Amino acid sequence: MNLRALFFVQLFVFSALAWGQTPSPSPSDVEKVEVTPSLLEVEVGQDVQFTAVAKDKSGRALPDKPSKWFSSPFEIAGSDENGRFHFVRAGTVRVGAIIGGKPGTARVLVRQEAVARIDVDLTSQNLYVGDTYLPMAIPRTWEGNPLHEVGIQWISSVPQVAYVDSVGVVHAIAPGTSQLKAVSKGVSSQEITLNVQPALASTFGIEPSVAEIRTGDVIHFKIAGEQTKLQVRWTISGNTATMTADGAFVAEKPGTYIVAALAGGHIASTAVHVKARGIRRQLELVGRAFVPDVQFAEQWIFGKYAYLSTISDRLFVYDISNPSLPKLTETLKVDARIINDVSITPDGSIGVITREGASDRKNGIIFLDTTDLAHPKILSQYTATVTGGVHSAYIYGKHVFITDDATGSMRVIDFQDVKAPKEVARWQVQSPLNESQIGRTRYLHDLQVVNGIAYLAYWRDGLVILDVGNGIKGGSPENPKFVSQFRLNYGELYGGDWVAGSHAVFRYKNYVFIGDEVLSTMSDIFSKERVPARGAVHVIDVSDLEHPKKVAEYQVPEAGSHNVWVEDDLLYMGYYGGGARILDVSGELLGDLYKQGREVASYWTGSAEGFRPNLPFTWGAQPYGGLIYFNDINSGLWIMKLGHSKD
Amino acid sequence: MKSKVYSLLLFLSCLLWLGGAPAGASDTPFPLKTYWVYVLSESADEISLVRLDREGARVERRFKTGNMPSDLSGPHGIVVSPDKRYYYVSLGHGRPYGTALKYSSENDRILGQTTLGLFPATASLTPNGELLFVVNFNLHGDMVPSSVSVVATEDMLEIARIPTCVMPHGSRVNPQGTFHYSACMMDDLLVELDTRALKVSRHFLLTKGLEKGMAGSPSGENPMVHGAAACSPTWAQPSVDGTSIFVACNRSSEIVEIDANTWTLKRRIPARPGVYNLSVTNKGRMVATNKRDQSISIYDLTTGKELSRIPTSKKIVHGVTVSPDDLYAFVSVEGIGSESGLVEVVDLTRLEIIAEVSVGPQAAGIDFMKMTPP
Repeated sequence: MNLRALFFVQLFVFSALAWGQTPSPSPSDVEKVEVTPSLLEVEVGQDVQFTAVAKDKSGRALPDKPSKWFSSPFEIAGSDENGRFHFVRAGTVRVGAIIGGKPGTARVLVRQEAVARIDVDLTSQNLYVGDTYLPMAIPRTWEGNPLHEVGIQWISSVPQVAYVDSVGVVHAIAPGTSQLKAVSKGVSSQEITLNVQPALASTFGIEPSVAEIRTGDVIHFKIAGEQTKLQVRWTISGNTATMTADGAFVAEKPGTYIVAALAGGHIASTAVHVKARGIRRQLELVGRAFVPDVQFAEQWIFGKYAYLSTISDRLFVYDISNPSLPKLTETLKVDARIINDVSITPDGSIGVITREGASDRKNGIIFLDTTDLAHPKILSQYTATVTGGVHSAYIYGKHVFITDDATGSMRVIDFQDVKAPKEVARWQVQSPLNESQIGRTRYLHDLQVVNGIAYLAYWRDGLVILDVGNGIKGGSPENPKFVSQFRLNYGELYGGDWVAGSHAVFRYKNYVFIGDEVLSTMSDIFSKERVPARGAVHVIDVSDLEHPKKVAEYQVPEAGSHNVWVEDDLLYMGYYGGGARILDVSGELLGDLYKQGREVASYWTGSAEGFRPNLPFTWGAQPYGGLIYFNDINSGLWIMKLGHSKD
Repeated sequence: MKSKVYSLLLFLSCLLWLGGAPAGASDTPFPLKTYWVYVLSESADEISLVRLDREGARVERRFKTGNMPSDLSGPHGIVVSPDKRYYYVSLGHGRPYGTALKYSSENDRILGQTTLGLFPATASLTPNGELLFVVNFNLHGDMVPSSVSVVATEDMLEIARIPTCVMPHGSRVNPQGTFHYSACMMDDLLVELDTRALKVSRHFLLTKGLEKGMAGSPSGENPMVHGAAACSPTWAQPSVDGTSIFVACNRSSEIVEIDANTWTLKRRIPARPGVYNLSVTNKGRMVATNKRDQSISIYDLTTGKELSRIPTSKKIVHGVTVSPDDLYAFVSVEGIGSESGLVEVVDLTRLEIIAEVSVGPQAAGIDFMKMTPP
């Protein structure tokens, strides 16, 4: 080869390689893969044969055959090697084939009625001629989520005895028996037997007779005397109040209300005067602790010390023996980007912090020696099975119950030997849709253990109750047993533009308080912009642990609930943009607690020098030693005390 | 006379070939051309576009990624499409599953996304840009086999999740687009996927003394005990012609070369402690990041000799991408705790770091975007 030829050869090779063009693969003739039928609606259970044809740039069909058939998401449909698909779940799915390295797809809508079952809570109902009765039913998805926006039709088997009008009210018109059922989208509820008896000959009265109550107080009215088994339709007239089907009354506004009972063709009424609750008190600032340009997270107050974790790698320890002048005694730095949780054993000897974002990606939890509370030292860590990150931890005896970010499961860590902690149990909600279904989640966010019962705030899966040593289901820390679950429909509650779920949990008396965390999908916890938040606290009655039911809620308008602590009939919480809040949770709880005037105090924890200036972002609260400690992401620790009445 | 001209031209072109193009004016280490790379910050949920030009290196754009407002999403892997119109980011964390995002490189807007497996990490594309391969690293404790997700990029559809082995990492497609390679850290395995059939075609046991190539899927036949991997491979890098696969043994600090045709061991190259990610140049060199050694190594692939060890200013050296003209390597360095991350720019001619750019904490996935002139 002469020099000229050598030069051009080299020039060619150099040119090819100089711009990083690795030897290109053989050019494929496949420009497009067409899968037919290209758009289809099918029903769950149906089989459909698809075909795929590869075409070149000119639109000419090529002889190449599919090297692979696929569906996405996987769990809605499956295929054989020849493109015959079987559809097993409702939803939208793309089915397709790869030819010559090029995929092509068709879109399939798989239909299934959204209502999987309809729950009714009665099997029979006694009525008298002339009675009206509003039956209640809840349609649910196959997962058990309530569908409040789905229409229900009620059908009476013998309308000559009891007929149902166009809005679902049952009218008892003649003695006899009729079967009542709710129907929606082809799904029927269990039947309710209506026993209609002749109209009552005598009238009746209402008890108790109440002179005066406060807003938020719950009164249970009932029919007096011998007629107590009557099916009663309760009505109220007055300013703003709630009356449940079983006669529970609670008012939101002061005023006089007339409560009427309709039953057996008769009516009785009574009046109740409601006065303002009058419990508002001042929250007085005692002291503050703050570090500039830091976002704070959880706190734990113990003895004369306050532990403050951060959305960073530091844990601050303050001496609060003089609460008006907290003094920083220690800054403990660990390998983490978020120390989301911190707590200390009741004897003060061991602390636990959770880690997320560690540089070695071994997050887990760290055990601290807190015998010298002013200067905690790292004792050990547990990362082996929870490297993906731990959000929350709850110490219960010699076990710490933790949330595993990676798998959305609860892990129980035995730290009897704190130098060698070990995992002894794990538990997670089971749902076939959790396996990669787009939009589905399994995310355990918070937990608390009280009297051997674990309460889990399980994000979209709501509240989960486990026996971890109580005995009700034979559970133990090493072998948690499912007790019950209470689900909320977060899509209905907050709509699609918010990331929402059960976030915080706290058991007190017969109630479990669940705080929702609801953040805008566009927000960023690391930016200095305001983080929009919403969310309510749901009050769940767990007097029957196996049948939890929602009875009340607490929602500060246009603010986002976060962590909750309840003690001595007062609920303390950080309400994100709503600042520090204290709520009266004495007595029975029913209805909208905010509107009932049950708020005792609130405080705006914004600060000019805060991470986000003049914006409260209150994380949580802890009452301790007669004071209340509120921790704010933006502005640090606020030490407060309840002052005099504002009413 | 003509032969003298061609001799001169040949001589000059050889200079270019062997020494690389001049980096720029003689009084500055910086190039006349402009280069851009994308880098992810895993603990800040950030994407940074780093620019290198005659003025030096700097962050041109820095913006947020992720899909969990109050929690870390953990962006880990990034790959730019061959036509430079898109780039794809894997988010390691989720509830509990991770995500792949498709971005427009024109305006950094998200164009699509899909849910993947547990902790999706390294990502790569077929040469036509149609299929995205993301390893589901699943570093969350349980030593169970994980998978490689395959995503049809046009509509961001996960079309397959192919079971492989424990903690797969280092996703790379060969230049022909016919096979995908990943390494399983806890099984000492290199796994080859057929990108047309979307199934495992071969696997290779990397443990020293036990090297063996095998057909089909590794499930159930691996003699290694999970968690006792001697090699602990973290990267699988095809050569520029696809005939060899280089694997970084993070634990034993070696680079293992496998013949892709015969599926046999070619050689084991001694490397620095914690060799982690690899990238090859067109000119027969390899750039390796040394996670535990706080350094970058450059190897001559013909001899297997280390040409240079370049220390970095911070710890936890992570990813590397080489400019298509072979002149620069861009290396991500994680840092520890609240430390910022770094992108180190290595001049591959001078074999030295010429610029350092601070980015968000835990700088991880990095890929070359473009250069001018294109």
